[in-house]
Amino acid sequence: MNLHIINALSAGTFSLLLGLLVYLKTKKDITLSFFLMNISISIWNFADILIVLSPNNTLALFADRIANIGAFFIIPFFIKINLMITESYSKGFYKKLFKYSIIFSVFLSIINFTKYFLKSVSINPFREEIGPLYYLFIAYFVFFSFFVLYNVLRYYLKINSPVKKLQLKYIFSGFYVGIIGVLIYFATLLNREIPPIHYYFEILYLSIFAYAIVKHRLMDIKIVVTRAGIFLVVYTFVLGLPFVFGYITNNWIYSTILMAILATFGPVAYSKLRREAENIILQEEKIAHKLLLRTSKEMSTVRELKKLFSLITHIITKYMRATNAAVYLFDNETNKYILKDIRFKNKDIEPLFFGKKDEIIAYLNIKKAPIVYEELVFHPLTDNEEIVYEKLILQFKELSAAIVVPCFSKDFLLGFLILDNKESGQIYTQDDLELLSILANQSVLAIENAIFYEETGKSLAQQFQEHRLRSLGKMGSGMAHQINNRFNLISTTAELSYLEYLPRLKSQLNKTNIKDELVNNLTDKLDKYLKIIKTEAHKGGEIARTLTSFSRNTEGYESPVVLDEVIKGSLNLLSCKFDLTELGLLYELPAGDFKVAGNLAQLQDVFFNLLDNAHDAQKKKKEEMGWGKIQLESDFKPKIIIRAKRENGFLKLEIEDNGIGMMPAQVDQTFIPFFTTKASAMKGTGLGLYVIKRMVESHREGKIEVKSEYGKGTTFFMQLPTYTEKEKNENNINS
Amino acid sequence: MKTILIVDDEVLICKILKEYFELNGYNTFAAFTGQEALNSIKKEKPNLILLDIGLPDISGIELLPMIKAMDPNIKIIIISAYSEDEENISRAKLQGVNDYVVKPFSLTSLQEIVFNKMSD
Repeated sequence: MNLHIINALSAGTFSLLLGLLVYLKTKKDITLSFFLMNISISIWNFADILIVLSPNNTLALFADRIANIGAFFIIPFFIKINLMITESYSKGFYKKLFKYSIIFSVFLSIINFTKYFLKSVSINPFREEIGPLYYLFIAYFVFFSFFVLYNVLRYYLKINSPVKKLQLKYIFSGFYVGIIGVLIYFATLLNREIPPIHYYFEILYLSIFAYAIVKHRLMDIKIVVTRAGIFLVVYTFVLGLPFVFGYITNNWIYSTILMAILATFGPVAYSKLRREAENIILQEEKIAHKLLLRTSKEMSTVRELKKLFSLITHIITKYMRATNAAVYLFDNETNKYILKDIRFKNKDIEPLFFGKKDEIIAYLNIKKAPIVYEELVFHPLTDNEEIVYEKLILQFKELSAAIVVPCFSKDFLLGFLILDNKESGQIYTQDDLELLSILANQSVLAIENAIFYEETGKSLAQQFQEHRLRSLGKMGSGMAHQINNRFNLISTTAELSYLEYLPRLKSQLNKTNIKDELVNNLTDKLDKYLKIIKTEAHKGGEIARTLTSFSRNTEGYESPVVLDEVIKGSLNLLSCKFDLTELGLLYELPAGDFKVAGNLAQLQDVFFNLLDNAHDAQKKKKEEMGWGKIQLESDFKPKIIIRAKRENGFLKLEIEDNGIGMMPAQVDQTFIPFFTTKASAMKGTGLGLYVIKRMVESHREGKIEVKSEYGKGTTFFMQLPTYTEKEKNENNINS
Repeated sequence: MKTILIVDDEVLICKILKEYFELNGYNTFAAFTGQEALNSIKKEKPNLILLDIGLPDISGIELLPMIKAMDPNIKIIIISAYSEDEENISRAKLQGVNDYVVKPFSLTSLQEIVFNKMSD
């Protein structure tokens, strides 16, 4: 009898807890059905305990009838879950089947209270006397059991997915075990010799079913099941041990104390065990998730769309372990979503394309979250008229998609990611889905950045940098204008003084007959110094004026630019920073005017920065020779050679310095954004070589390359388009 | 005597230029804003104007057609503090500007230009 109680208690508790946890974790139609089925099972189990504990036959009879009600209602919910899993619930006939079985169970519950169903129950020894109507219940159960088994089998033969077949095997065996359990129960009613072992089948059935649900990703209950399991173990121990102790010693006081002590430690043990178990279960996943997040952050640095798409599919297949992955992106020209990259391991997938009205696109726009194929199958879209459910399912099948993750840019569906089943055959967990959503968001940012970059040739970071420089330039330009005005005033005042007033002063002094050597000397000195003021202020003004050119229109790249003007302009600026003789400038320019089709302001910036860098390299070389780091060149003199020659409509320029040079690794990085060998990135005007490269490349077929050897020096090679008379004519025609 | 009108919002530069050109035998007036310039042109009828582009009330370039409307024979020399202000200068040339000078300038070269334009 006690064995009977323990069995019924644990089976009932297990099913109730499992149902509750599953439902609380994910509130869906199928989990609700599962929960209701489990409630029915536990009513049946708990009422069984009542029968055993009943003091008299009348009460036992009543408890038995309650137990029967539980048993009746297991059937309709069992059918509903089965129909949902086998994708047949959406069909009208099957829905009716569920309704009819509910009605029939209600009918059974009513007749259950007549003597025609259950005549009597005697408790010692336990004995049930069933009425003729009871066979209706048995027939009802047997009919639906075979129906369910047939339905699962039929579905199993119909589907192709190996993952699904595997899952169905579990479900099938779960049902099988459950049905056998109930048949044994019926047998115990008819034959007293059979022990009440049906509880074990019930627990086994629930376990298998729970496992199948986990496998099926109906809900993410891997952890939930573990929790329920640990909870059960801990509390069986907490409640069971004192019970056994009390039963053996018959000392219920000590056993109650023992229970109190154990119950105190129960929650602690439970939470500790739970954490340990979760860590073990999720360890592998957590590592993969971390890697995925880290890698996806790197996406935004990829500027080529093609590379980016390939990176996305790579991340998906590598860290999500999807067998196949694909990226679809909206194409403005065709107005369709087209395949951009695909990575497959075991099958060929036809590249497809989808219009905005296609089911899959429409549904992504409605749901705005990852769509899981199996969920679709379990939750047919009956409420959405815009979407033809069958077509949607077909599109998923064509795509070989287990999951489709939308990539939204604000409210616009930019594209979507497609994942096939996992290599392991395991199911995507809720965590996986959340992670995929993050990945999709980051993909959107990266894709937009790359599109933007491809369209404008600039990344957002660069845009920001340029914007900053532009506003600095504007401010600087305004200041330079003011400084130029001051210098102009100083120089003209000095000029006026020595041009007009000094000669007049001299003649006045002459008139007053002061013909002193000293006076002559003084006026000569005044003349000389005024001229110095004039000349220097004039130079100052010219430098300031060059700075005003920084804010000038920098959009045109086809204006005639004289190379000489470029070099002079940059040297003018550099003369503010250091003495130009420090450079040791040499020119190897053939005779004639070099006109480049370009942008004067930007080319001046280019030369300014290259010459400034060369100067820094020379200084560094001197320093390092001083420290003995590199071999002393006793005759080291700074030298920069600027060479130019015409070649096939281009001007080939070289700027060669004999500074410190760069290590091979540095050479490779020269044109990478924000790379600098200098201590402060804000040196000079803050324009990195990356910006310089972009400025050069903004010119028609403009190119810049670098060669460098550590200790020897660096040479920059540039190609710029020459300005020809033909273009001049074209320009004239245009204007 | 030839008359020069100097238009610049920098009072000191006007003063220097005025002194310089008066010492060199010109009759000079100064104006610090576009409005003052137009008034002076009406009153003094200058032969030549030294016109700064950046004025507080109106741009020198915008002033050009107004000046030309009042007297098409006035010689105009533009003074700009900005680096070769290509767009402005090409616009200015279209409107009959005779020459332009950039700051910083030297008085002697400015006087040379003024002298040449006066004798044209």
